[in-house]
Amino acid sequence: MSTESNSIPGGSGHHSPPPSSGGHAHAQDHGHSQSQGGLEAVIPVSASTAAAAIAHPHDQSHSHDHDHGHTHEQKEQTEFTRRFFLFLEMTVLLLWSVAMVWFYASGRIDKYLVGDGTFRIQVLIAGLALAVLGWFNWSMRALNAGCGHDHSHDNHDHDHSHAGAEGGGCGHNHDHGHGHKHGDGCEHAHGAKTVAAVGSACCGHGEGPSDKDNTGCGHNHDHDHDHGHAHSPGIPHSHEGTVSGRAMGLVLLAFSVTASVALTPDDFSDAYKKNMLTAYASQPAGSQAMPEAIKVKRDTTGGGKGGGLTLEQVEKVQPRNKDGNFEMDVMQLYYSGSDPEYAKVMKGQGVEVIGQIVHDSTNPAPNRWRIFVLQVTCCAADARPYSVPVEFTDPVPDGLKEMAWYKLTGKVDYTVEKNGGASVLRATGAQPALRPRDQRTLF
Amino acid sequence: MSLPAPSPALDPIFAFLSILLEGIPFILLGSIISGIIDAWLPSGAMDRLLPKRALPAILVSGLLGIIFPVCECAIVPVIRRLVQKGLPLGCAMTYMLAAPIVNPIVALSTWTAFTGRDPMLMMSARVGQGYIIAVVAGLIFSRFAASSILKPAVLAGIRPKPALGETSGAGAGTGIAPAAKRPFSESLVQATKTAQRDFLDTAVYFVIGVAIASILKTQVFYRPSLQEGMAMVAGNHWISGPVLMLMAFVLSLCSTTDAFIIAADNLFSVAAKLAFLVFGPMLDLKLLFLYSTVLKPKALAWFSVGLFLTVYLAGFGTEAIWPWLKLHFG
Repeated sequence: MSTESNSIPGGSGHHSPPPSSGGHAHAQDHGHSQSQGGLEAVIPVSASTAAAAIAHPHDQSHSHDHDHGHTHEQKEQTEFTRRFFLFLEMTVLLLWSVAMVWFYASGRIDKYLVGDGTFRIQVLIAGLALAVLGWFNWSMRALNAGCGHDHSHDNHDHDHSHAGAEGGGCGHNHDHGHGHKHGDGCEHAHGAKTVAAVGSACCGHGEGPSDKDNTGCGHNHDHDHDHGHAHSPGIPHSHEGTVSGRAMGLVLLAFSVTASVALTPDDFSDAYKKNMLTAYASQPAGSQAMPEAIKVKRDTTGGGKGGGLTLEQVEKVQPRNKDGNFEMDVMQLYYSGSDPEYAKVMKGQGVEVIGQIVHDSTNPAPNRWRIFVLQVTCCAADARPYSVPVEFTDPVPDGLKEMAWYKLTGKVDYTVEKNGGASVLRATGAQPALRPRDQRTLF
Repeated sequence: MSLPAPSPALDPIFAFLSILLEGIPFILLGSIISGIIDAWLPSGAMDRLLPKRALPAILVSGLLGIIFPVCECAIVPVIRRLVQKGLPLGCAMTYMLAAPIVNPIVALSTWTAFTGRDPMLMMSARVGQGYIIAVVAGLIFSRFAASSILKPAVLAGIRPKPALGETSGAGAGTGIAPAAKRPFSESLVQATKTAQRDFLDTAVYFVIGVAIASILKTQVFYRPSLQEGMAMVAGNHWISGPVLMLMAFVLSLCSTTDAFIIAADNLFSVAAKLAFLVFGPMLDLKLLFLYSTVLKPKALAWFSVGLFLTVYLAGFGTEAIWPWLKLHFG
């Protein structure tokens, strides 16, 4: 528990100031105007500016003149930064998109995600969607510049009706009624409710739109200042949108996907697999029921006397191969001990099973090995080994290689463990084999 | 092109990439939903759909996952947006915590994973306990001012609710209806812009959380000494629950997957497994980082400690009535 509580302040403390914006243009835009350095001069007057806006909602030219000197340069810079970031964002999204689509198209995805369900196709769809998203936002960059409609439409929308779709978001700045609305917003800004104040203050968060709209946006700048002001009471300034924070976030995203794609071996190391194996080796299937998915199908018609399962029934649903052996996979073999009826019938039967083999870490005798597969539920990171102990009854075949794939031949046996029956393979032969293509075993 | 040879040093990278490929589509989905909400859902709409009084509203919020099943990665950007659209804090937190557990997909996967080991009981216990804890957490959150819980950036995006008198006026002149008046293209641009911003934001934290989880999992978790230690305490009535909760925290599994991972384990008790299944979807490494896009560090720390203790204690309660449950529902 102490680990738990320790890790939390540590984790979150580490990330303030967080690397990227709060998820909306508003915080970011705000950050920009702050970081441009024009704000220091303006904050002291912004209260009166806002007050003026309330008192004289039509008097826009006043506030416009007030700060235009600062904002002109600042705006050009901001606009440049904005486009620069939009370009970076698109690049990052395209990078991720390429990685995801490539993994899907090359089939490498099969090593990472199971074929059951929709996990693999999701990667393709999301990869394509990321590219479309990045490209679309970039191509709409002029429109995106909008005079703050990204967060404040609830206050603005009535004005948008006479703003054209093309870059028009800014036309409304000239509207007098609009000034009025903003005035309302600003009233809140000076009101008692801090949350409401901040919320409504966002009516002015829009930074300057594209260059051609300079005249229309003096008004907006006026509100930018209100915005900075509205933050100051009660709510500390958010630095989430700082340029460096956002840049760090984007670099991290670009770096993580590039580095991991370049370095991934598409498989776990043998050492890690053995560690996992050891962790689970002490857990035989015991009394656990076999998962439905791998349950040995049984023909219920014509059961033996008393309803018990008979060898004939097993043979019917699971035919022997030409050598007279039942072909089982490791999972089936592992769980077969948990079905007493099935175990009774199968005990002593010849089987063939394909899997990777290792020395048995729980039993150092030279003829004791384990055969295992890694079973995956969704992604490779949740891989879990299933293993069955192997005892070579004849002399151990020469040149057995750990971690290689083999087809083992032998007879099934069951030992009684504290949790119930556990399967053992009394092996007589081993042949190198190819890894079977199974939807759930990735390795 | 030849791949690097597998080695212990590269294990975290393989694990990292596999979780990323699994999770990123859901983060994108959540971000797109967030963008759509931002562009088209009128401010305060959620508020009006929910019951007026706080308790019933929170009780209903805990069940929203049944209608909108979202897993824990996808829900964080959605919640952030809903809060900004005026969904009360208590309701939002309840939905966020409950949805990854109280949802049909997770219920079904829990059922399937526990086939042959009281599936009905395990599923109901998980869903029931998850729901109750989410509601309790929501009630506690609703006692606090949003400004002391939410990050400034999230707070700043909260729209003012329309004044009381205006809401009844068919939306005329208020902030309710105009979204419909706006040209579609404009809303679309706003939606994609928000979706992109939210995706990038959330992905940054997701990447950090997943990276740490991958390192811990591949470099620490399966160390034989640690595993022996875990096997040793597995039978301990008092410690086994927290051990599995810690495991859920580190492994950062998806809530649709975790049941399969733990069900096949036969060292730990049912109560400990239940703690694993309830705690994991509400808080793990990746979620810790994802939540930090919504909650203030201090609020997040208190929440984490509180949740840990609550799930731990709730486990004993469930354990106490387990025989009774088994008798009647098993």
